[in-house]
Amino acid sequence: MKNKKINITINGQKHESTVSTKLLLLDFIRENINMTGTKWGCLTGDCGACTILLNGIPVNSCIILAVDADDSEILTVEGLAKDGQLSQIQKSFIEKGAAQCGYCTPGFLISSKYLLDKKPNPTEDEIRYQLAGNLCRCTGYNKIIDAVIDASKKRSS
Amino acid sequence: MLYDFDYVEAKSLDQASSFLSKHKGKAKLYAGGTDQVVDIRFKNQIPELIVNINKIKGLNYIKQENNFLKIGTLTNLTQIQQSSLLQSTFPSLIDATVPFASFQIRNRATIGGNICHSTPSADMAPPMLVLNSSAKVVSSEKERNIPLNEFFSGPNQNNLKSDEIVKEFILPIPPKKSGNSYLRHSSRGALDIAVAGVACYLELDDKDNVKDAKISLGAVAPKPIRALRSENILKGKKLTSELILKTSTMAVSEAKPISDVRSSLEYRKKITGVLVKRAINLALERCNN
Repeated sequence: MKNKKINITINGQKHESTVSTKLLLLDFIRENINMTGTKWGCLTGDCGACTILLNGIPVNSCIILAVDADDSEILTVEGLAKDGQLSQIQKSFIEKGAAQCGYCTPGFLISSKYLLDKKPNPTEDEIRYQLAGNLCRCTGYNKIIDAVIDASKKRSS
Repeated sequence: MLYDFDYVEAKSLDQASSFLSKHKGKAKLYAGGTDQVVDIRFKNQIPELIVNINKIKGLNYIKQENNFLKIGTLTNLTQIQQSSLLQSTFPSLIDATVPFASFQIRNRATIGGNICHSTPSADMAPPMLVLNSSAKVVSSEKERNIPLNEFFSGPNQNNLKSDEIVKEFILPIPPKKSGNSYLRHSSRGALDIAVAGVACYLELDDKDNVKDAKISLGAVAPKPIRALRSENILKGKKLTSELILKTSTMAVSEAKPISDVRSSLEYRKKITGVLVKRAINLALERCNN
């Protein structure tokens, strides 16, 4: 088949559409749904700029076919803020200066959110291991690590 | 948008196999997509047909049946890393997942994909070789078992027929006084491909002499290989540092690496020797735990 009807829930909202079977999940989110927070980066699964939660698990949306995500639930960076309020991890990224150019930030936020949901008080080593699939060319990572630690403290207090 | 190919979702392995058979080597399986999508985009390996097997139920498991461990082909690397069943008896499989790509990739990459993509540097291959594992392979015609030691045939090549699909991997449960390990080296700690990888399996007798030994090497030959002459040096002997050194020297001579973008041939040989020593020692440590 060349086209397929898919149902995908993104940030709590259902989207039903017929897409090309060649369409990448990343392109579906950006081009079809018009949510451009999730970024195009390397397109090989190396940089993590396209990280989303697919059924609650961090994955690279640039190397998944959109049709393969039929019947799934997705969380993108746009889904982190609630009722106009930024989530703690977003606030901590701002406070600690964890974004410079900001291109990698949506991916880092999604990976960090998953990590803190699973492990509210991770060690620095655990943070570095878990975030190794997100590359940042500006910050040298230290401020990102600081932000995750800051968010972990403020979320558990 | 990717290049032009047709797409189907298989409901069973039988059905997937008949799609493969109809397209005679021009159809490719898709599960996690972490290799397949990249191959299509950047290596220009555009199949006629993509057969998605990701939606087939019941291929994702790690379970013990009698004296065998069975790992379903769609089991992903994160599940292997977090498996308590593997932790005590098959730590080398977990070792292999630790430096493997990234969390996002491990959440999608399947053991079936890593083995069947058959790159010489596939991290899951060396431990699977020393653990005496075999692949249960199905096609719409028949079923057969291929020992992993006869599975690989060259760079990105294996002995699967064009309509055959690996359904699961079968590993004998190792005896009590045994240990297994996998160590690899790469320039980066994450998102990098092995410069060399070494797996070791050791089994000791009552007198702590080596009853059985297996060593395998990844990324230093056209396919993942066993270092049989190195293994023979260890068998029946008491493990001393001289014996381990002798074994590692032999393993270096059994490695047939190339120079490429990741490493020179000379460095690959050097690091293989170092890893063999460390992998033997780690396996030994695990024999005694």
